Amino acid sequence: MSDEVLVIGGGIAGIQCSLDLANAGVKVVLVEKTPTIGGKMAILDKNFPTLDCSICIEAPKMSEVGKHPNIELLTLAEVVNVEKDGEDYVVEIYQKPRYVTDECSRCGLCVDACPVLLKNEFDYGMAARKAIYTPIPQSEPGAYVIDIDNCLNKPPNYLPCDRCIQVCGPKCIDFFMKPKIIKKKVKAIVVATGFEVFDVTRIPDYSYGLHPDILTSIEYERLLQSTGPSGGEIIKPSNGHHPENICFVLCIGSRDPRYNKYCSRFCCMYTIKEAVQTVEHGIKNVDILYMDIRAYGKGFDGFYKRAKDEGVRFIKGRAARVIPNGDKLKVRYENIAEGRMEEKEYDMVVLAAAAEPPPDLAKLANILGIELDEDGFIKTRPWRGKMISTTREGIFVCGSASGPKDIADSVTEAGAAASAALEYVKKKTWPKLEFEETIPAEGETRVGVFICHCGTNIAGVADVKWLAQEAAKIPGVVHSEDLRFACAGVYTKYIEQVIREKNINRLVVAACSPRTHLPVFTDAAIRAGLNPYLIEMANIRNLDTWVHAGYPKEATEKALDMIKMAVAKAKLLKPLYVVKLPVTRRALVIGGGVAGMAAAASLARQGFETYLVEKENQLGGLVRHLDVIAPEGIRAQDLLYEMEREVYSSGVKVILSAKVESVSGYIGNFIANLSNGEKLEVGAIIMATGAKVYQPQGVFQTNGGNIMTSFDLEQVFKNNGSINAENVVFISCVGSRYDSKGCSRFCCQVMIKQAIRLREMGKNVFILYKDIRTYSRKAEELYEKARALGVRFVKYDPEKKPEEAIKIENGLVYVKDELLGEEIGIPADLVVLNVGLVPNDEINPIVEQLKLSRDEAGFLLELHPKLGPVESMVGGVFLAGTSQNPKDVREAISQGLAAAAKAAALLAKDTIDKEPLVPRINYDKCTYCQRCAQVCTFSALRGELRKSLELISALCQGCGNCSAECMVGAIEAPGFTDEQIIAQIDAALEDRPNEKAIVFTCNWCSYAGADQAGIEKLQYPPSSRVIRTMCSARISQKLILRAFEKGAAVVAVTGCWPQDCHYNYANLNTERRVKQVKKILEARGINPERLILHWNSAAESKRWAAKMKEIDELIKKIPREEIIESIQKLGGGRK
Amino acid sequence: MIKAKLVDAELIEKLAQLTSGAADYCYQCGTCTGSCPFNLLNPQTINPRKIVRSAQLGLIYDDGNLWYCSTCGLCEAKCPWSIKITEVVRGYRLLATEKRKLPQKFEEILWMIYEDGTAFPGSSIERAAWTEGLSIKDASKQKVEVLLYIGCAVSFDKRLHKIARSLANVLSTAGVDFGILGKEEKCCGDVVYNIGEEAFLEELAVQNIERFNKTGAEAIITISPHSAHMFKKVYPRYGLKIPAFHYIEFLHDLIEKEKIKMDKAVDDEVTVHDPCYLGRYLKIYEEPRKILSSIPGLKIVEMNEAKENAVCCGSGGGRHFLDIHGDRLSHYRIMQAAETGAKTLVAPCPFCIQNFEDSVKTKKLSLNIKDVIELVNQSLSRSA
Repeated sequence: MSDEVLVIGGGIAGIQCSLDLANAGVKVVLVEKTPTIGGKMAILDKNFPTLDCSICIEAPKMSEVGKHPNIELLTLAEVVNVEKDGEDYVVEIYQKPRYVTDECSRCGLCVDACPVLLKNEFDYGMAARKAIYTPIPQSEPGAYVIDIDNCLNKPPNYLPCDRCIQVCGPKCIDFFMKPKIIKKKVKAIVVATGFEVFDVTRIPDYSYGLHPDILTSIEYERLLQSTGPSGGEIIKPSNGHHPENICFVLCIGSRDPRYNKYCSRFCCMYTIKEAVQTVEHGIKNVDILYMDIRAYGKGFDGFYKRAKDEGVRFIKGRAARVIPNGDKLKVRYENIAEGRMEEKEYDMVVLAAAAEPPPDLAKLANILGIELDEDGFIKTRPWRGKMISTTREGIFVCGSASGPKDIADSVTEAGAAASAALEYVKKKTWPKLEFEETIPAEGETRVGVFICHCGTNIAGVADVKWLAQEAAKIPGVVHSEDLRFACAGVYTKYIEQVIREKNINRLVVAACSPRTHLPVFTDAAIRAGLNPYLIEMANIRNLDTWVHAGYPKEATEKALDMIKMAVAKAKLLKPLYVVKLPVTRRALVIGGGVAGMAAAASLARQGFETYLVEKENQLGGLVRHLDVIAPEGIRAQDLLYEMEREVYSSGVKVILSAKVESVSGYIGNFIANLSNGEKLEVGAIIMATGAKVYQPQGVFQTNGGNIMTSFDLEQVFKNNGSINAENVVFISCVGSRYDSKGCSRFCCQVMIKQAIRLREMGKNVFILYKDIRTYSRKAEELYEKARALGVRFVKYDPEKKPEEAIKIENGLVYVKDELLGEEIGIPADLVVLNVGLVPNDEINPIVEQLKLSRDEAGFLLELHPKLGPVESMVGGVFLAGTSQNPKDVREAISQGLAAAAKAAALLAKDTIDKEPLVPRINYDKCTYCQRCAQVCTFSALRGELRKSLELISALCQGCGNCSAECMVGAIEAPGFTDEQIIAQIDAALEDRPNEKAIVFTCNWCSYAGADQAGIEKLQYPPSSRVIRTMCSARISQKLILRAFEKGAAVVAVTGCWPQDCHYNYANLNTERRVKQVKKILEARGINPERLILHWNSAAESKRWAAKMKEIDELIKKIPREEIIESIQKLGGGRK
Repeated sequence: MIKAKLVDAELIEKLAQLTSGAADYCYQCGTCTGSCPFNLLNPQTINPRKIVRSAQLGLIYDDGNLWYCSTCGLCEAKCPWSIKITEVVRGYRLLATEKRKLPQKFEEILWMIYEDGTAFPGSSIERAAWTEGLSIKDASKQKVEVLLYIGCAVSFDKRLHKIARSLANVLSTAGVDFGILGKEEKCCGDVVYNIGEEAFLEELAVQNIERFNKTGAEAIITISPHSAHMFKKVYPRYGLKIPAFHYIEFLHDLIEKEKIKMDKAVDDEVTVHDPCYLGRYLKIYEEPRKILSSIPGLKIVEMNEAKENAVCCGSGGGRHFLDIHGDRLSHYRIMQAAETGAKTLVAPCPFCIQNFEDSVKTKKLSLNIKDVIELVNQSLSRSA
């Protein structure tokens, strides 16, 4: 009997699925055919719409896979045979030899020695590699690989070329490695083989291949990438010059029945992203030729607007021809808004090539015994299969293998597939991961400093070599070195080795954000034998080189300050030990719609006691009110019948007609009180709380007669009611796509489905739309069917609300048809307002109690829009379905399953590790004044005045508020002690303090906002020195005054908006303390304006940059004499 | 009352019937407008997308540019959905003609065909003028196996007589039993079809079919691709049963069956123009090339825009008879031909040849314009 799961394909879907399985205690075999995992995401420069650096957020996941004790990673490997043996699949995997052993240190000498020059596939042939190479700097596994087919030593012709062997220090090149056949028994298989880029030479009209400056989007992506062939410069491959104008062309091989009928789904957004990046590179003339802009996801429409605001020109019209014309490229198209043909010359043309099934997918499907669909992707069973089941039991699919999907949707499906596979594995494995702490923290303090280049992200601005030299001079530093990609597996291994060899007992990494990368270095330290809390990061990328790109000198100086601050703090760090907290191994799913039902049933089938609480007296949620689900045409009631049966048969404890009235507790230990008086103790909560149908207000109102919403119409269909109208007009985007309201995703396909139904009843049907967004699988085909049947589509001005663009009068609907360019009147006996979803506000109390955040539109905010779509900002609370964003039924079910996988990982063990941030009370100093107990927002401190004080560790969330409140210094906040913070302040202000501001940030919002400003490359002056604590409530009067005493021109205390505070409004104390200090300053004759209180959410990057500019201007206004005077007034000058 | 064009469901229905629902699939991407060669050269533009759009919405489309379209079909070849855009153009022309809202010139053309049996100047007595000195069977008087339909352009333009004479010689050499209708031959109706005068077209077609049937011929071959298209694709609606071919198809067959031998070397370098109605309408692309490549000594070079991408000479769809607006498409096309370095531009269509010869003179190029059959005839060492 096997207890393993096979995952095929190591792109982001395969990576996430493997991690979800492994974290839930399942052993995973991950098979990848190329030399590295990472897939297409590793090739991309940035992700939409957040402009996250793609590899930066993927690399930690890649290295997590490489290190995970439950994952066996087989690269250069392919599945060659699969047979069923009882409940198991017996899998044969063929693995090609790497010819380089794991001892490879990636020194690169072999590459220099290798005489064979080849095209680099990862750069799509735009750059060269050798026969021995590493595909990308962050490759996982990190060892080099020999392309034996192109190596001069190709067996059996052993030519005497052994140049690589000669230069290899660790002697890790082995030409005698043989291919292997590996046999595995697995319980389930997940296919995550992704997509391939359409061969654009198939469309001769676009002249791809005839001129070097006609690129595919993925080639262009490589040009944007700092580690790509042009080092991140946009240059014309023909002559290396910067282009002045670029045309992006959409739908190349997609939505084109001659090639692929389907929509490739993500091209619109990556093209908009590439266009924005192009503008930000200083190229002003950027045009996009499009048919419909499919900005369907969360934040996508906002990004589309941003592109327009930044000057990207969107031209509706499909390119007819691209014609090379000497240096230039002529593009011919109809500018539909103008109603005429245009021919424009460009320096560069970027073609958004379709996503197609990989060429060998049919072969793999054959081996696995599963079917492909008509487009050649893996066929899924949309009904019971929830889009992740293939046609064979126990074999699942996720990501683009079943049709093009963006990263967030792929990650969600990866979780869903993991959850489905988890149901097959009973035995859970937890390999021992305990390392012995061999390096003593006490005694001589030996600091090791590593400075990351991050490609050119840091090294392109700051002088990293100089920094390494300067850092070496700081007392206590015994090692200082710069590394190309500190987070890459091979470099973390190197850091581990240095720690061990040099007996380093404090580690400083000057790289990027600790929020994303600290775990990578913590793991390295643990492996080396160091306590994981003896590490400090200096975020010289997001807070420095990215935001001061034009000032290399200042950025370098600031980086040195930041390194000094980190070293100063590191020297005072003390070893800490995680606290094991018990986990209540039960789950609560709130909301019995399809997402909640899918999540609950999957958890129950995995063996977890699961409660499903639904406020109605039956399950089904919104789907209960639907007739037929588009695009597959499944009857909603059939789906619900099936899902309900699953819920009950799996043993879910269903509680109907009950609401969750209040929730308390924290990850692993929540208590929910229900309206029926029941009290549930659970370890994980899934918020499947749904959304509400938008009710039109204002000009367009339903009237119970000839104006109804699409949901009303659905009711009519469901009840087999009759439609007494000959002419029906649909108006789309009612209540969607304006202000902060995004696209509701599912409405286009629903509307088209309804239109088809009416057309088939013989009605004249018109659809008034902004863009037709039939992005999802088989939805474009539905659009085609509607057109074929004679449903007419009329485009109205997407910049306007429907009630502004459309008039209903005397049985006619008037609208300017953007396609005709004229006002038309359409006879209408029935007007259907196609409405989307709005956030459910009934759940406000629990959202507040759980401290969940909401996004701009009011839906629940996920941990990360790309890689954390089903996790909330709060540990132990997961998001499923439309509570997070509007989505269709299939997507809601997938998200439900994905949330179940995350919950399963949490509930798989009896305990979870709690960060050792619980304060230490020095009872010798304590006066039992109870001030700390009064400010603790979690009631973790309790006592009696002048008699006692007790700390309840389980309730403590580690904000440090108590420590800031203590007047006698009796409470120490581990990791953020007064001593440590003071050391940081002093180090920051050692040199020219009057030109600097000390900026305190909280970990969650303001620091994240600063990180985000970096990601977006928002430029601001380099005068700020950031000190991060968990919560702004940690910042005491003493710390603020210390900064002024040391000569800081300005001190800013920043944190979350009070309603967003991650510590239950602890930051109201911050506000109180800052006001208090202002009074003190005033009393001592110091300008209180120099102390600033600033709230900044994680998303408000622009707000952050603007504040930093404002602070800089303030600094410049303060005369040096005033600062010296205030130092004296505070007694700082005495020393 | 808001000023607006009113969507007319009945007109939608009528146009859908006239065009077999051609407009339905259109998703209004504009590739057609962007591909239209007319738009490259002219300040007045044709917007095929809007013509289709009007049909989708049941709106009247009577813009003058409806008549500029040469129905070349390049837009259809480029349309992702292969929508029959020229059918929609003809549908709207039909509606306009019904209301007599057609260009005055076309009214005159229709009268000329009605009265003289041709839109070309000249009288039907001269129809067989090209046969001077040849003995060609009169199919209206004796039975022939193959009826050779000469067509108006070749009959009445002396410059083109050599084409008919070459074809006659090749057919005789191959031993084909063929004849012509001579003065009995009448207009094939291509222009009537493209103007959209349906009732007259039917009358004309029925009369022609009667004449063809009387000859007892087993096949009809034409010199003009326009006539071939009419007989192959349109006449069957009116009852034509005799199979019709463009001579290129027939000739290709003769060569395949080794009925003729081209053994005399022709020292020439040619580039091939694909006439719209031979290429895009009848999908005959390879045959002229195969024929030419079997001529010894002849070199073929291709233009950038060849076969389904070929640019129209400007004469289809009745445009032959309308005043040209802006620059001529044939000018554009001969420049493309000249760019290849070829000495001769080969075009198996009388309209194309007329246009190209005019353009070569205007542009003062030293480019020969020939029909395929002329080169074939040149390479025959043995002649009948």
